[in-house]
Amino acid sequence: MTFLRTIPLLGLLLLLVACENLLVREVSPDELTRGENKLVLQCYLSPQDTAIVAAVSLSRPVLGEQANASGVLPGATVKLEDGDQSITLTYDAQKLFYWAPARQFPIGAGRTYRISVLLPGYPSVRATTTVPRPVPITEVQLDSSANQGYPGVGYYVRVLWRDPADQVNFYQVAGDTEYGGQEYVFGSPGQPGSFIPSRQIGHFFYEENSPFLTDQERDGGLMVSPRGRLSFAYSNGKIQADPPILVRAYLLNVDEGYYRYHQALERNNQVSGNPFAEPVSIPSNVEGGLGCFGSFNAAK
Amino acid sequence: MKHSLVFLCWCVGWLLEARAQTPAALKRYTISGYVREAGSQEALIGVHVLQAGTSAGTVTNTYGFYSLTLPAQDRVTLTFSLVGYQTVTRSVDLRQNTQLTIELTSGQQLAEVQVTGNREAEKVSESPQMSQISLPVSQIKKIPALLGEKDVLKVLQLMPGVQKGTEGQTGIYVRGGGPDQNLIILDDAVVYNANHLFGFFSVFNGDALKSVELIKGGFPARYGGRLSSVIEMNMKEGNKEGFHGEGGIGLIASRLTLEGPVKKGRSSFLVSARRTYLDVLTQPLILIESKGQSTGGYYFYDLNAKLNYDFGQKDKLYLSGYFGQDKFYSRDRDNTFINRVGLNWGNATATLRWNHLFSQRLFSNTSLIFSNYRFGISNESTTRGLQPGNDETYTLRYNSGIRDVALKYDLDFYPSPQHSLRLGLQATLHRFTPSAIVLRDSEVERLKQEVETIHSAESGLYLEDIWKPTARWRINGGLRLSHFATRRIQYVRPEPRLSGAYIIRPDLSVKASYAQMNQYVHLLSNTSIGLPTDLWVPTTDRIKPQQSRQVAAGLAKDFTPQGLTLTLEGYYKTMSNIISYREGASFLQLDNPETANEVRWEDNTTAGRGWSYGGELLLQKKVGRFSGWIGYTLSWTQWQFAELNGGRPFYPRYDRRHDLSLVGIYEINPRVTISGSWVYGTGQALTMPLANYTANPRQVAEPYRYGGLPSAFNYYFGYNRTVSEYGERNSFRAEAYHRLDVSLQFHKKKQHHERTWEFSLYNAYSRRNPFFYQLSDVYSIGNTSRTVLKRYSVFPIIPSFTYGFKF
Repeated sequence: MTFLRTIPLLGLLLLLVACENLLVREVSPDELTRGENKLVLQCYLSPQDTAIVAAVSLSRPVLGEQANASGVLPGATVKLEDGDQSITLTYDAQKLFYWAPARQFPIGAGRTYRISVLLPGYPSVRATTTVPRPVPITEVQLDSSANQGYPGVGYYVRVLWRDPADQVNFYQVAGDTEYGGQEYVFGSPGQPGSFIPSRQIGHFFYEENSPFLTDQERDGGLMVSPRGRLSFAYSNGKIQADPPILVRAYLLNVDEGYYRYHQALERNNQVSGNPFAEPVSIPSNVEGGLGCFGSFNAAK
Repeated sequence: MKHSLVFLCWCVGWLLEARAQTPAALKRYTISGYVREAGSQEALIGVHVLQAGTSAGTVTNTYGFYSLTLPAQDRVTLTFSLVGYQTVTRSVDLRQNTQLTIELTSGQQLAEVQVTGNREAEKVSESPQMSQISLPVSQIKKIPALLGEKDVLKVLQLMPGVQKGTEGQTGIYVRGGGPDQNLIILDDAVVYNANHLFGFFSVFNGDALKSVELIKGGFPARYGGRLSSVIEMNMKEGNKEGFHGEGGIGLIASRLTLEGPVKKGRSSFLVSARRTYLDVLTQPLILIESKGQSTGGYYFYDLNAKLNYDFGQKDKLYLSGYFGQDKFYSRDRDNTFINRVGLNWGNATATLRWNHLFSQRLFSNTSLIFSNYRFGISNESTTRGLQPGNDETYTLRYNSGIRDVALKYDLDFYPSPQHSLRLGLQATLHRFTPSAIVLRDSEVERLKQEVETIHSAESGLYLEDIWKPTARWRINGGLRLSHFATRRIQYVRPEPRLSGAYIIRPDLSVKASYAQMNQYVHLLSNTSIGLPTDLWVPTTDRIKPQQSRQVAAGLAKDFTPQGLTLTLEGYYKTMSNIISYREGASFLQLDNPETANEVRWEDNTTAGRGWSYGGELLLQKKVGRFSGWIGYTLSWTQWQFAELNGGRPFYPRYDRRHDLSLVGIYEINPRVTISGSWVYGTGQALTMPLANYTANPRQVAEPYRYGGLPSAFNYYFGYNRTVSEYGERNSFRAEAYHRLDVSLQFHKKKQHHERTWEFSLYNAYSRRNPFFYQLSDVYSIGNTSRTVLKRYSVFPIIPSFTYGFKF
């Protein structure tokens, strides 16, 4: 659907802005607030994880020379504490993150954790999170209907659960499908490639709906997630999936920092590239830096 | 409590006054009638009718009617005066009720000197109303304009307290309010989208207008429904004496107005039309360029028409209408494929008004009003099949709009020179169509029809009194009771209004006012320019009515010998439940308009509060060979929304610290007029990204797998996405805006008509004012890239010439 692209607004702007030399000027950077390099921390704790993992990177001012995209930075001291004990995560150059096995520092529901990141030359950052309690899934509903926008039938899934009363809860729903498919393998030079059977995994698509929810105005009630579409490979309007087909649904009870960060990223994702959309500012619970230190408790 | 106290004071005032007058028990008689323009019989609005040597007087209403009740006396001398017209003095024997119709001769038909001397009665210091600006239509025609297209709204932007939005746009921002908070009425009908060509021109054709008035504070109770301003325009009735015409040929548009009597002295008509013709000129070029495969173009037109019939002193009937449309179209074709795209939007209004005089002191008007705004997109493509009858067609139509049907009844009662009472009611049925989609696709054999309409009712009941308790006090007090009903929810809100003036000296007064306003319809717009996709939506159970409270105080001074008026005002306004888009919201879905209707507009908006305060200065000269004004505004506007900017207050885009306008018109001689305007405004407050970083949300499900195993990183983190850090919302200030326009008009009277040549320069010193800013990458040798911020301007110096005629 490209027809709205032809709306005359863009044409008009192009017409009016045609005289590039006459009407376009570079703004001197002196007139602008310069962004600074800040540490970006992303670390999500969960009692279900077998490892505690943190990614540390750097933000770069928008204006000026663009170096290669900032990857994960080595050399930082990433320390996690829970009031009784602490652990320093170690950097793994192959995995590209800082980590420690969960058995060395168990993550428990209802407990509060603090994290700090030190990297010489940059202001240090810190953040806290309290791990939510688990909320079980009561029902998973599967449903099929004519696939909107595509030929054939689409399969949809909803997750249902009961919200714990008298507390504010934030949730994320997610899921995946695992099925047998075909993988293309390139042949040796000069030889044709071939298809070999392989297991494939795709995620639930939430399309215009958001997989992030709160219990606002529904405290203590039965929660029903928006429907997610199951992801499969299609060919000529028919699903190409060999058994066994596995559908896994997850319900995450997440903390507020996790919810706000992920929800903003989701909105940002939906409107990226749309010049008519309002900019989305991504909130952060990391003091002195950017990113998110969040936690969740997952039910499968 | 506060409201009832004000009401109590009012009643006590009435009683005391009644007591004071009873002992005299003088016989009183009424002089009433109409004031019209000599030569055309056009009713004149706002003519001051004064008993010479006293402070007793009144003002003609929208239909030119006045009524003055005075104690019986042998001789009463009345003066009738209006800016631009020669003052008329009449003596009347007041031993019985008298009907007196007056004709005023326009200054254009007289030597200028005679007009300027007679301004005694028309003083800004005498009126209880403040924060009000009336624009003489003749002055609008002399002020330079972009491409020579005279624009009422752009002239209003030159007034203090009124700001423009982006370069060249007609959007009006009054005292910290947005363009959605202006009540724009044309002959009693609300005009919902006043823009042509994406806001570069307004829909109002100056040739068809008789009066333009803007109120930005101290609102009289008869107006309601918007928070920030009332822009009231009245169309001319048409010449009742003879057939006349006026027209012009410009660079982008031409216009023609014809008026004349239907039945001489009783009935007249007016028809006015304007159309752009860029499409007519470019279409052949596009056809040649595309070898006959493509056509396309854009045009807009306006059509105003009015018909009236005078049944005598007691009854008059007016029928008026406006119809305007913008249309963009394109068609591409080759041997197998035809694609048509259309985009159109427009307003239609119609008003039927009946004036009835119950008595010499009681005037009534009944209006039946229709207003419709519609926006539509259509796309139709046909792919020819291999065999006949196998063509595949795809059709999409998207419409949105608002339609009003309203009934308005107003009574003007003039019991004594101390009181002018107005009361009335208005009931409007709104039909909102936030979206209507029809989709037909033969390939997948689907037909989708979705129409969402919302019906709501809005009404208002008002009472106001212009009261002169003593020779020094002028008070306009009133109450409006507004009501709105939609989707099982109702709102009833009282809106007290009060404004008053105390005359310190005959040419100096202090004024103060208070007004509370409610707004039940909201405009969703996330661009600063006047796009036709801006959507009107009602108050619902989730979106509360917007409300404002405004206090203003000021000083008005007349410099009678020089013909100058000076007003100085300060205001403080609070606004609650104002709405804005949530972060990331957009109604323009670039890739898939079919999903536009699935985005619920209520979910896309968030409510907050705002406050604005500032000071305004206006030094104005309306008549004489040299006329014009200096307007200056110093203001602050802030918003606070729980869901925007982390709940912290921020400056909205159009917060403007300084705004200055200088306008001058000089008639060198009867044949040559030179005019110029210079504007300066603080830059807009915008949001700019400060830094970029990589966001890694949590991977929740098993990582994607299509063959090969995912990396360890992907078991914990999902996609990598570069996002921006914005800092505080709207913390970047665009460069200041300033611009000089000049124009030179040459008039010549020929045997049967008068012609005018106008040469004008828009942005005479070619200032590159910012239209928008954008980040872009600049690549240099060695393949390194540098990101810079670029400022885009729209209009450099633009010369234009127009030819005008009048007969």
